[in-house]
Amino acid sequence: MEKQKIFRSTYISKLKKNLLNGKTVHLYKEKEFEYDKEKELILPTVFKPEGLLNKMNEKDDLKSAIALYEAYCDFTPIQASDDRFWTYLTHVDLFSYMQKRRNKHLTGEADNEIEYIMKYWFMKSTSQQELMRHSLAGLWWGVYLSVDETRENKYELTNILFRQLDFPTRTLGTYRLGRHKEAVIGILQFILENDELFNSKFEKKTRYITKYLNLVGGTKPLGYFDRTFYINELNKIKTKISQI
Amino acid sequence: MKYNNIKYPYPVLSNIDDSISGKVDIFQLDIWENGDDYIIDIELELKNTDIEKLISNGQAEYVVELLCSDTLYRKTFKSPITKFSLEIPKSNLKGNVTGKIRVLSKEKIYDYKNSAAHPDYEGFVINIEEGDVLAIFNDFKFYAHINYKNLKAVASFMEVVGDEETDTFFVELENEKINVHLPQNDYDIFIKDKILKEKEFVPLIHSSIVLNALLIALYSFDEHTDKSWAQAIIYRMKNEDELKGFISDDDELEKDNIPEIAQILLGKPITRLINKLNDFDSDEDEY
Repeated sequence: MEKQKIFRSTYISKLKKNLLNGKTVHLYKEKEFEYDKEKELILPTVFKPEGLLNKMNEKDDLKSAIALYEAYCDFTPIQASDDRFWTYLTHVDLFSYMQKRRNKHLTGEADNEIEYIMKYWFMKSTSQQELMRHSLAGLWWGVYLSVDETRENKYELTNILFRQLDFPTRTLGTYRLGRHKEAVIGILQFILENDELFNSKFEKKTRYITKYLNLVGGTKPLGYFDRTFYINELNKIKTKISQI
Repeated sequence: MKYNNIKYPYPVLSNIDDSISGKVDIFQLDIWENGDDYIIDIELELKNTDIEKLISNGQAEYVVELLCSDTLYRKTFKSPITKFSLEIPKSNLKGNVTGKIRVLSKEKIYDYKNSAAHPDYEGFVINIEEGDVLAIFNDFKFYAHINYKNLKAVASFMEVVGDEETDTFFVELENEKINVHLPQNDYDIFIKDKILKEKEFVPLIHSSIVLNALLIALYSFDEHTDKSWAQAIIYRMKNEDELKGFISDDDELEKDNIPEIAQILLGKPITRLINKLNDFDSDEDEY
């Protein structure tokens, strides 16, 4: 089996520099991205998953997220926050998926092609916000935070998290609260148990509950509590949620 | 009681204000590496009769929360005693790690009273809920993924790379190490064993390529404090006697001091160079 490759850090800087000065915009419109193979590093303990590209579906983020997570389910948090890995995937292994999922530079809809490519193909840093907002890392981390091995369907809650991509990548995922797995599971369990409440205005309602819990976290250290606390807290504001 | 823009509606023991008199202190903090783990040994000191009583009664406990933004790590550790020895797999932490230490209530406490509370709180009925904060210690921080034992080695924060696209030396600061770019032909010569592995040349390399790169980095230090190379330098500056006075609590450097800081960080490369040149001269005198 082929070993997984990543880019060298210095090469990522060069890719960014070349994109920013406009030299390589055209490469992102080609069928394959042309890059310097000498700037690859091999991860000696990670095998390149077979068939991942075929499992990625640009029209179904949940499916893609689970496929990506399963392909790299043994990754440690450090490996999953390595921009050399994610940038390699966006440019090489999953380049054609990226072109389909983030295609505004191809269709002419992007106001600024360079900014558009920078935003989706690269990471500015490996902060929580950047990891969750990244086209591929956000999918992996979304599953990592919501997978619950104690359930018959361990992705039952992941299904809810990805009901709208903004929830894992912009709302819950980017809050410090999103790092606490018990909180994520508690919130998603509450949504699951109160499905009818979230049939409409899902985005507004999930924004509201995230902000509400953040407010609770003002005086209580949220990392202290388990999922039951979150379910109980949200049950207290059911009426308010229904009024949104 | 107000802390981090949070106003608690009841008195909390801390170093921030006098809502409760007493003492909260991190008596000892050791962070070290053991194989694949970071070990964080903490010893706390808390002096307040009523809170100590709640802890010994099992109604409150010490809680350490560790947070790491780069790996989304967030975990709490609880203890009824003042000592913690935490083992965290290295694979879980990268970059800035923050530790928050609190005493939290384990259950509802009706009509909470603290005999050392400020008189302003007298007469108020305070009901504490599970998870409410009773005492706040100062936060602590460390930077994971730095091999603190090897920080004296230049390679811990700097790397020389060959670059086919440049015909001049330049320094790149956006990566985790300071990257010194040499034109590829120069680099190919530089990495030859007879140069790179020759101990006699170390002062020469340190006082030319390395010193120049470090000076460039230090003059742009403030914009890169999130990088590992800057954190390695901050750690050394806060822990080595010779460097302690050169960095502020906010990790800022005085520009005027930078040439001296660079000399200390590299173990006085100019002095070593001059001594080496002197040695060469002496060798020539000996027939």
